[in-house]
Amino acid sequence: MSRWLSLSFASAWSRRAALTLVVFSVAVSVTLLLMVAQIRADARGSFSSAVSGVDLLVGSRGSATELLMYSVFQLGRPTRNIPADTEERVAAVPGVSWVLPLQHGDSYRGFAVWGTRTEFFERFRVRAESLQWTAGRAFADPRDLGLKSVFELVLGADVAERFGHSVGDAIVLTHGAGGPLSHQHTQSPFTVVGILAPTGGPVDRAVLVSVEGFEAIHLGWGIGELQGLGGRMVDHEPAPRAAAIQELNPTEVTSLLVGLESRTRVFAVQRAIEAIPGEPLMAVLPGVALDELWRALAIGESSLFLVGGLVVLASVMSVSAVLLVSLSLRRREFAVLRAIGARPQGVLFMVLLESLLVCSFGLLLGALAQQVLVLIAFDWMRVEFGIVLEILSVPKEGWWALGASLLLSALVSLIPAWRAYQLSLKDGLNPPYV
Amino acid sequence: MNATVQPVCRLSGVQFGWPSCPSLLSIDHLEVPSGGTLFIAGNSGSGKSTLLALLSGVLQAQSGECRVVGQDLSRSSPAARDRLRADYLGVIFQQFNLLPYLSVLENVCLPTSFSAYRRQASRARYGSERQQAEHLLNALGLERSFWRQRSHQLSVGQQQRVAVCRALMGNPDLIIADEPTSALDESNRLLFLELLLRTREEQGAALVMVSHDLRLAPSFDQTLILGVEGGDT
Repeated sequence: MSRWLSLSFASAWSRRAALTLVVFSVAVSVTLLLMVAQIRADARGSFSSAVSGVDLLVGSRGSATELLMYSVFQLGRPTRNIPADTEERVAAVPGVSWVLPLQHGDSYRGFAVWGTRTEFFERFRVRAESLQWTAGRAFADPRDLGLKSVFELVLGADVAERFGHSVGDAIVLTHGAGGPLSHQHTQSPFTVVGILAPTGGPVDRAVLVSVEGFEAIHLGWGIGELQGLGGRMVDHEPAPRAAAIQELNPTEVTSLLVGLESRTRVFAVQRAIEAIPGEPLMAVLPGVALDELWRALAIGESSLFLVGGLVVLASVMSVSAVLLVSLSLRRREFAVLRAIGARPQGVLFMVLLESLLVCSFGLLLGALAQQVLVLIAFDWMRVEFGIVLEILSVPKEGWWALGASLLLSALVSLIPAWRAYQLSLKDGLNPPYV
Repeated sequence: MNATVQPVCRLSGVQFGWPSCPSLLSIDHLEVPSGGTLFIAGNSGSGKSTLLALLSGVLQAQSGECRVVGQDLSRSSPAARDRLRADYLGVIFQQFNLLPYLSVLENVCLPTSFSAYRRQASRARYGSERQQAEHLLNALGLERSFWRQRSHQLSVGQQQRVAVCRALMGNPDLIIADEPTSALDESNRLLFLELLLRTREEQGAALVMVSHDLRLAPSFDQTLILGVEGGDT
């Protein structure tokens, strides 16, 4: 066994120029397949752990996946808003422990602005862990502290890092999705009071303000009465005006995050919320909505997997083709081995071993390249798509893919190995001179 | 070993033919004693290579008895014939004897890695395979500077001498050489033959050699000329 291994290796090494290329082709194909497997697994992991503290997501009746995607991940189309008073009505449903509004629609230099309440920082969980602070604190609740706190703002880790913001910076928010044509609300500069620690969830890319602050962005645009609030707030601290605060109460919110007293009652609460008269509501279990999404994406994912698999098959076949071509030049080599007493089966084994060696080397190289790629793409995937890739952790599908590729290469390797056996049997010690 | 008692090969009533040439080879009786030498000559197509293929167990005679080192190859399985070659035979080709991706020393040591029997024989006589390989290389006039080289760095004559070393490695009973001198020039031919004969004698191996160069025949105990009736002298 070991003598065949060392002979195979020495023989392959002597033809390394041609074999290097096919090793790379196997490596590239395996990188592709593993990447598909990993992104699939990690996308699921990242998305389902991003909302782990929330039992129900309430929004306007429609597509559950769209609501979840838009209100938590800022992906896809905006959903219809629901009246702000829904918050109280949902809170009144028996079994509901807490309700938090979420407002979307504005952005800060490409990052979504979330309008919510101070309580959000205690309730929201990512990967079952509560939010931590890198610096500062949560914004104060304007309902308690009045106008003084309306323009306080908290930044997610990525936003703070991208723009180099720290606590105390003044920030101007834009209305709409951002970009050069968006309206700049120069009247409403906010002050950073806190920066969240990285979580790996979408909250890293969020700019968080109070619902009143969110409303102020809109009111400050074109409503003269509040224009004076803006830039000088920190310096002058105008006296809280009860009337103004009430004007900042939102009339609509995008969705509501709901926590339950007991998870066992989730379906009863879901029915009760959906039965609230007025605007038709939908209460979504985030996990169920994600499952629906994965089911919808299954065909796409499977196609990608299939394409990856076929590319691996093609590259493994190219290994066999290269070995097959080389066989005619190796008939003397086989004759020498036969003269020493090697059986034709030994020659078969040697070629099989070489093919497996080349394929395994390609597999290994591909797996390594994939991990390097994961390291390189890690930040980009997290910031752009909210997918946290696991480093040095091949998902179950990845192991399956590797195993299947190895099996496939063993099967395809039988072709040149069998041909070598036949040649060796036919030639014996007298191969044709080539 | 029983080699001293019985001949290293004994053929009787051996018939072999291809579909295109049904009676290519017919040998009534042929015997090479242990340690003896046999020279086989004959025109192209007279069955020289076929006879060597029969002796080395690659082909099987259609009738008759073909005993090599006591084993009747006509009644042996392919695996047993391959085994016999690994344990008791050394083969030298016309050229291209060496694996191009191994060094001279690695090439010489190959037979002992394929046969435990030869490995033991080598160790019993020389202490280690490496020592026998060095002894043989020195005996064939290949200095230490060649040992790490690859076959493409050697001349044809040097390659053929390395092939002799490999064939003799682990003390086989019989060396089969198929026109080993035909790729050599005139001056090297006799020198090579002399080295081959002397070293195989020292190692105690019998030699069956095919060549069309009849001038080499006097150095052998027996000569068989194929294609001519009663050519056995």
